[in-house]
Amino acid sequence: MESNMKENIDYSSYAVVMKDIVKQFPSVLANDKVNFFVKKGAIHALVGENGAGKSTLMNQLYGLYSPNSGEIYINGEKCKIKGPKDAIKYGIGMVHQHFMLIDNQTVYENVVLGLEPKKGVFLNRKKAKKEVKNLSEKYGLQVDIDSKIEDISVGMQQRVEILKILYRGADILIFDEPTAVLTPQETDELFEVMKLLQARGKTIIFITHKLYEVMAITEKVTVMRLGKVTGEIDTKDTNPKQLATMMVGREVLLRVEKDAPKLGKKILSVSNLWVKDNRRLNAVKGVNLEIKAGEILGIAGVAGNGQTEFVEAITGLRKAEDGKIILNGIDITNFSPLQIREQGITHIPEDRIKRGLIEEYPVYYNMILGKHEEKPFSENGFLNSRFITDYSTKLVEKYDVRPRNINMLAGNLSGGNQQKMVVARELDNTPSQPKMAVISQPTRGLDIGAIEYIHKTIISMRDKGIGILLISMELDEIFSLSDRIIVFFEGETIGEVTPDEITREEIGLMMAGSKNVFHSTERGESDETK
Amino acid sequence: MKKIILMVALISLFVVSAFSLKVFMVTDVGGLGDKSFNDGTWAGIEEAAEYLGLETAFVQSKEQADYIPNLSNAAKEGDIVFAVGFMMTDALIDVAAQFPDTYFIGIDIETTEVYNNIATYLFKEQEGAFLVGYLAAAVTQSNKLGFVGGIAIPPVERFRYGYEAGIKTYEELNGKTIELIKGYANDFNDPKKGKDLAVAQFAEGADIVFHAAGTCGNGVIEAAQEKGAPYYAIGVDVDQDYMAPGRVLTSSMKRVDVAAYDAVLSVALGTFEPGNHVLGIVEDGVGISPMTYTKDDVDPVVLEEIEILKNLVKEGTIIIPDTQEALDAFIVPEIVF
Amino acid sequence: MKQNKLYAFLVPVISVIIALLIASVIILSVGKNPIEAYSIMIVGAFGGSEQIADTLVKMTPLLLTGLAVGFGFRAGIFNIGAEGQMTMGALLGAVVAMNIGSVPSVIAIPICIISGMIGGALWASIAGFLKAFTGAHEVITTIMLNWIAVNLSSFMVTGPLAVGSGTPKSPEIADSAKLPVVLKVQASEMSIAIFIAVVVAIIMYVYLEKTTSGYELKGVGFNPYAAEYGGISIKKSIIMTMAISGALAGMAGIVDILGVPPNRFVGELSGGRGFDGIAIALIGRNNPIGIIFAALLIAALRTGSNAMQVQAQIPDDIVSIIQGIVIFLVASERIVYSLMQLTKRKKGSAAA
Repeated sequence: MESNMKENIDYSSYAVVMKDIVKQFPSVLANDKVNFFVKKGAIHALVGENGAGKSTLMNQLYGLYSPNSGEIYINGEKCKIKGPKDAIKYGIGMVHQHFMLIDNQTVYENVVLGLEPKKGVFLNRKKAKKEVKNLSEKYGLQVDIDSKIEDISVGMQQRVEILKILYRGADILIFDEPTAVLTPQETDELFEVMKLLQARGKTIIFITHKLYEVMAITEKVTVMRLGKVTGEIDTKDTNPKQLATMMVGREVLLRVEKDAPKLGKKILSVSNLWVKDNRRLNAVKGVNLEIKAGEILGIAGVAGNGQTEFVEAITGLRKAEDGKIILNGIDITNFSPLQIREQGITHIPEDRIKRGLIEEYPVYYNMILGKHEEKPFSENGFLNSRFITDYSTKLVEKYDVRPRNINMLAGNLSGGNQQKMVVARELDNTPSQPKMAVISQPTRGLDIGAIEYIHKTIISMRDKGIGILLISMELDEIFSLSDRIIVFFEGETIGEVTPDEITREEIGLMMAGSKNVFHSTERGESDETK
Repeated sequence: MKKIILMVALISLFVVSAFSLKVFMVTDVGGLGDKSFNDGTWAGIEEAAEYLGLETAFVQSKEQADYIPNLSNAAKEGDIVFAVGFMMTDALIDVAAQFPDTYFIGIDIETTEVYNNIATYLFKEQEGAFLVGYLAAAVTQSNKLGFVGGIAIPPVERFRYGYEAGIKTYEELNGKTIELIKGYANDFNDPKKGKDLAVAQFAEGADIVFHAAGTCGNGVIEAAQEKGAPYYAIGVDVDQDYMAPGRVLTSSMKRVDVAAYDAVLSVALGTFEPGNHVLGIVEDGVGISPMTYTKDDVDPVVLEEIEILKNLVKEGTIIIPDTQEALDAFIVPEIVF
Repeated sequence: MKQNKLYAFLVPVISVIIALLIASVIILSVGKNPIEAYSIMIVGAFGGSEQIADTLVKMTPLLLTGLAVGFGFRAGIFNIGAEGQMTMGALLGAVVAMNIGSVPSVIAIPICIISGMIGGALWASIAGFLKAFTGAHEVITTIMLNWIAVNLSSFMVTGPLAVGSGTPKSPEIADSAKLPVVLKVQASEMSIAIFIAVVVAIIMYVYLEKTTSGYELKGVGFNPYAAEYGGISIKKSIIMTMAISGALAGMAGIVDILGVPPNRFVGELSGGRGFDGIAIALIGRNNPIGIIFAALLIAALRTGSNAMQVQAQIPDDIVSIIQGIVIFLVASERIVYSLMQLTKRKKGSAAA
């Protein structure tokens, strides 16, 4: 729009130019002479593993950090971005992974927050609503503007976030892993929105680690690894395998190789399980399922359809109101978490910060959580410090928890490394091999290399005859690991399939509540406004 | 009397050259500013010190464990150490034994044995309170009276015995029935507790509340002031009438200042007498305030009667009970005004 | 790690220095010489065996209530009731100690101390059970229990337990239950109580740092959800924490009776020292070893201030001011420190 021509180099056809950006943190060189060029009106992917420096780069563009050296041009104009306010002034907006919305306010109130049209000192509600309505129609962001945030789905909340930055006049939109929280259908809808935004002249920077999404929607990809750009390429000229290699620095197996399961005897059987959620409403409504030794049962479903409560009931963290949970012939219904652990169930919780670790404890203490009462971690009520230290050091090495410092507080680790720590603890065989593993969102926030390792570990556990219940919002993960898949919808199981008899799209429809996927064309709109 | 003592004191000042005693006052957890007991004692010490040109110092204890260290420190520095308050009784005896050359004065303290370097001062609180009780009984319109005590220690209880005896006397002589509402704050330092009790007693129908509760009692006076006429508080220890002019009917005075003054002088003059000293109306140790603000609220006849009763107590014609047993056995003498 | 420990040590020390500087301005403003005042204070707290004895005697209950509160903090419990628990511990312990008769001291003393601890533990457990089973917040319940304890103790010393004239008090405890005196200077005497208290602090340190049970309690304090997931019973932890915290407070009370003349239960025994425990735990950063030093600091300030009152006529409010400033600085430092941690964490995750 305000393209000032520069004499020397003409960057006016670029929305964003970041040139020779260097950002040094006390312990790490996060960006090492990074060059990042985004054409006006493009959808440009920025991919890389955790710690590759993507977020650091984007945070400099958004003004949260300032680079040690290097130049930034927006629409050809050289600029210094001192903070988010500056960024907004330059037309840059960011859709964060964690939404920054006020739950008990309406959609339109959230959108205009901070820039409210005023009537005297009061919010001019009529004007605000009209403006938000127009904006949402213009960009195809259908959303009920009078609903409260707490009443709308995650996908809808994301639309509100997008509206918010559009309302602030953003022309360059940064999407930070926007699909991590979405169902396949919601993802498709988001892509349509992104295309419409592009058609209306917006430029989009799309941060992701899902390579098929890169292939589906972007025109250009910049790949980063260890603080450097390892490649910039037109999407049509590449493929996921090549991108993965550029990201990881070696060849990566995108699909886990596994043999057919060798099924053993029945390990877990759940019959007619009823569980209530925190609001005392029924969240799990009469679920029946069985897991045999040596198989992986995947549970697919949109978040909030009872999976969390189901897992908590099995692991003793939540009371089962009715029904039975039998492990190896022992009725473990409403056992305490400790008793259930003692029966040989290990558990990777979905929310690692809330359940999986104690941020204030160092890594070595977190490595023994839940096992701390057992020999050799402790004896006669005293912790065995030497063993714990040695053990943690080994595990940190094996699962590549970075930094390799077991004295570091868990809260100071990055999310991916926290996850690796929890996975390491739960999947490790010390002091004894588990009989059954309940694994929720095992690779949330992890990069391709770590995912590969964890997936292999899960498969090898299966092959040792451990029964595995896998809950994941990543359909890819469910598809590539599970031997059977059960779909949860509103607290019930609405279907059981095997991965080779169904497509992503079909399972997506099941997740949206459609029982008969082979004959239905119904879209999953209904649950989005629940 | 005072003047003669002063003369003697001044003379002895010249006799004992380089006369420089240091006087310490150690209080329990209540400090200065209580507008009654501690302030009164301190005023007496200061007055004596000013006449004699002595040094004075004040030490406040923060907890019971401070009594012994504070008294010990004071004894090392000073020549006369006051232990003020009944709660310090045990500590005073312990410390005094360690410092035979220091004079210890206990205010409101009673020892069962006589120690060579301890003189204690006690009061016949009941005598002043008797007059106050009679007055309150005469003034009340609701025929309900209140009493707020601090902790039920003997000095507080003696106030109550006298108060009850005074009320009983009025009842019998004037054929009136009066109800007494009693309460204890279990504390001497928190005005809030005193106020709560007083407010409750007013609510139960009492129109005059007498307090013997140290700083707690300041809350009683505050409550009376907030209630306004015709409610009254009755002060204690010193003349507290000024604290809420017109709303403090009178004060049952206990002349700790007189005791402190006399005690300092006794040491200076070499007339120190170990053992318990009990001060009553005769010794001018207890009494009733001059009622600066409330004289006109009271029937002059009643004031005359109180004057007469005071003389009867002085003469020993009426003996005011100082224990519960004595109170129970108290028989109102036949008095014709 | 090491730097953290140095930091933890430096902050309170610097806070004390700043507090003394600020207080010296106040001392100047009342027309006294601060250097003289402080030298009197130091001599008054440590100048001789008598002063040291006074300081250590004062320190003993402060140390124990500090440990009581600090222990609760470590497990995420805000025990405001040390005051009441101290009173109840002293009361139960004193009743036992009065009636124990002439058994050997090696038997009598442990029995009495344990009764005191039980008294405090039971009292605190009321709040513990209420929190574990009804969710009633311990701050509210312990404050209410404080009032009950204080009034109950006043009632006991003026009623059922009252003896003799003088201060409301219980009869003297049996000689067999009195703690051996290690130092006696004039009227000041010091028993072995302080050594018991220091040993308790060390035991608490070992318990918190080296045992599985300590690991569990701290875990519950940091993150009850993760602790529950790790097989730790939250209810059990809450009740146990409250009981141990109360036992420590109760010990503060009974040791004060067994070790300090007049060896009787008196009304208002706690005298605010239960609340002092909160300040001491804060200054000592809830670390048992830190709490030892914090208790020593407060005790020394107080005995020193008594000397200042006597020798320089400096009002003892100065010490309340110093104490207040120290607590303020230590507390606000924690705010600053947490902020530092937070920014560190942000940077850390951004860099990763």
